[in-house]
Amino acid sequence: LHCCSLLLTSVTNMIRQAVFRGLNRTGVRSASSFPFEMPTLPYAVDALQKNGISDQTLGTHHGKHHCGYVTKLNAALESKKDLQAQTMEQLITSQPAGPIFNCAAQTWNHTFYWNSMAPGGGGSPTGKLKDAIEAQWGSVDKFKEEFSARAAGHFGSGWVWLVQQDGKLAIMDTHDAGCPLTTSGVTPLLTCDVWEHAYYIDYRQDRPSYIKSWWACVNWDFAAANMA
Amino acid sequence: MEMAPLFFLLLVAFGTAEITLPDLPGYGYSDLEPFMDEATVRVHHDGHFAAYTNKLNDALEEINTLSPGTLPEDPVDMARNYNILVNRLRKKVTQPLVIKFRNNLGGYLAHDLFFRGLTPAKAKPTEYSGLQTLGTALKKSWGSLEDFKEKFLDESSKFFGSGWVWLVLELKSGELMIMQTKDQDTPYSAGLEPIMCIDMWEHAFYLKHKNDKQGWGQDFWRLVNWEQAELRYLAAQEKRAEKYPVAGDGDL
Repeated sequence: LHCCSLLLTSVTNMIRQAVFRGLNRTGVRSASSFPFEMPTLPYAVDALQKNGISDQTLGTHHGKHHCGYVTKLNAALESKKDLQAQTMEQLITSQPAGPIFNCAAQTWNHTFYWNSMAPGGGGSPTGKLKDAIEAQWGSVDKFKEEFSARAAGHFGSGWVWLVQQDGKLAIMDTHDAGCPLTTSGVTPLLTCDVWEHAYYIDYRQDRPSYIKSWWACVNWDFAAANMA
Repeated sequence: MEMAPLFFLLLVAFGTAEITLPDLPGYGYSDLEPFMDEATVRVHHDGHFAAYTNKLNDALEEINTLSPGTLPEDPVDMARNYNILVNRLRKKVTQPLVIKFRNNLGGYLAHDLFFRGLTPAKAKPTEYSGLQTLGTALKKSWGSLEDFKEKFLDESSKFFGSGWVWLVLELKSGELMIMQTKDQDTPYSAGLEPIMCIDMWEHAFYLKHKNDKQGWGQDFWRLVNWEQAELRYLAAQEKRAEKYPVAGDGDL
């Protein structure tokens, strides 16, 4: 019976990881290019409400901001035949700072953000991820403290990331639409959106309380699945 | 022991009195309705503006202890001379403190200008009442006030990230310009004098407008205090004359 339960757990984990990889980072069909489909929210709009991120926030954040970026991106690419074959990731790494980069990167960042949270999220990491966090920060608590400080301290709009680089874990923050895909050798594992629109409805200027809610939603499975 | 001279010495050594959070200038929290909702006025002024003021005071206290006498008293002068001052401070203060100084000095100044640049819509007899010399200059630069408005709001509607859009006077050329700054940077250090500004940080408009920057711009325009803008323009002209006494521009 014990063996069966272990087998079941590891099979479930394998399926879960395969699903996340298959989802692909843009939340749309693999290798798609212009015209991009509207991105989907991986859970119901009120799924994170019990952990402090309201349906009004998710509805506006996804419905207006995230979808708005895709609409603007498609509009901008309408007249750029030479870019229409590029995937979202290709656009992010090929385009200089400007409206097309902003829209592509923000589309990608937001999809990564929805996946970094889950209705059943929170709690603590396990296995390989836990080991890697402890190797870098000594404990999960120390890691959370530092990540929270970086998230609270980022001035202006941006994102805070748990990434893997040179086989080690690290915390990175990017400004405005900044995306880790533009730095070679960096694998993003999790992200927290610290643009004001991510928390203003629920928390006004109290970003630290929003960050606590983010931890209550954090999707460790997604982070583990992203590890190289 | 004589305390008064000691106190005076300490005051001189460690900098002068704290900067206080300015009250809303001549209007109450709900007086900007319906164009700016009361909840936003409250959190913007009592939350964000207050935080910038407090953190600026913290930064100044630290800097004035580490490098007494380097900074001028007036925050506007600090901003005008920002680059020179930071250069002088470089060996005595850490980079994080410089950043704290930059962000909160800018935050304090920008918000002060912003709130002083607003007035209840009902207090304005006409849309542009108060504009005189500045009105003439705006028409000269943009053709008409409507064209100026369109250009300004176009700049603010397409703003990305956090920052501000300003109408400024370039001291050297005497030209009026619409320009943007990121985060809490102000135009002062680039030799540009602010005339009026719109806050494009999301906290300025999110509760009422969500991501509708166009809607925010239209509402903001109803509240612009053009009397204040006129005064700022005249003061900027004086500053220009002071700084560039043999100006080639014979228009004004």
